[in-house]
Amino acid sequence: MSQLRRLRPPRPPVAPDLRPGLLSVVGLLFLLLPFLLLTTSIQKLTGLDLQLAGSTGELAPLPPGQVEALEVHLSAHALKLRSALRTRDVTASQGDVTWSETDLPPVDGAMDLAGLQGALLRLRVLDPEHDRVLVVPDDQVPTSRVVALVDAVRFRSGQPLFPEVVLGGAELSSHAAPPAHTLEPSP
Amino acid sequence: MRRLCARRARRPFVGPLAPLVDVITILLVVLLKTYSVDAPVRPDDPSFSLPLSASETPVGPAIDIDVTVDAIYVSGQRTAASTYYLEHEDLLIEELYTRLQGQGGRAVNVRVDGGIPYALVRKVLFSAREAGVQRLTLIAQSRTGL
Repeated sequence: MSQLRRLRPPRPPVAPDLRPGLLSVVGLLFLLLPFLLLTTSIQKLTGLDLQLAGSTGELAPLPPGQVEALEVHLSAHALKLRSALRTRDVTASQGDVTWSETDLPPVDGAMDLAGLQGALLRLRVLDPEHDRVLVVPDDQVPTSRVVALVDAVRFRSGQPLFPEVVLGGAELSSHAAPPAHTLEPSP
Repeated sequence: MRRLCARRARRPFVGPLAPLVDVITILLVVLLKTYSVDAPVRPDDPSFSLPLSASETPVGPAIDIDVTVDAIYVSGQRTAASTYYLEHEDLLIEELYTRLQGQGGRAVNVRVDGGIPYALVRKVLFSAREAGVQRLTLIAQSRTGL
């Protein structure tokens, strides 16, 4: 008998039957799919936390750094970046700031958000502690464009740029952003 | 011979199941990624559309202020006419200010139609702040939604 067994060729290994395992997974997925499809909403909402210019007393003071203030003005599709940088000249008195303006004309009829992000990134590198930027849209600018601008100011390729956005505009910003010549020297 | 045939017939048949599981898994992941239980904003007004945003901050509970082309609603109730405040210079929207003071809320979610000029949004935000609201959130439609 043992000799006969030795003469018989060995049985090929039988692949394990995967069907029961796969079928249970498919069953579970088929249950989950209709449940998710029926209960999901088409609109997924998101919130943009905002602060208003003019309430400077309520805003937390910024840590001292090279960037004193940042403003982004939006009119139709044109952007203007105003930045106040502390003067580091030896002849300058402490707290002196220099305002500079960068005009970003529309590109293909749309806001030059990439150009703005590039300019903001340079300022961010200059003073990484400065998180706040004042966004001042014109009155006639539609809200969708304001939201697009706020998005571009807050994040760049998923990385935070200036996450603290303060909304301004004619009357609201009058207390928050004094013009360059009246800017008080910081202590 | 019969034994050989029988063995071949018993071989597990899993060919079409594997791609099916793959497709369903991909569908499931997409659905889970875009899943949302947010109630539609102003379903009675088909022209109302929120601006799109790349932000993914979830919306917290607060008093809802809806700003449409025609009117301003607080918690679904018409409070002021948008057209009036778009044409006039008044910065404070009296009706909204009174309503919010009465409700005593500390946080509001402002849901604005994407086409509304910023002038009106500014007035709404200003009135809310004057009424004592401390947290202002502008609501937008997430780009990650369906």
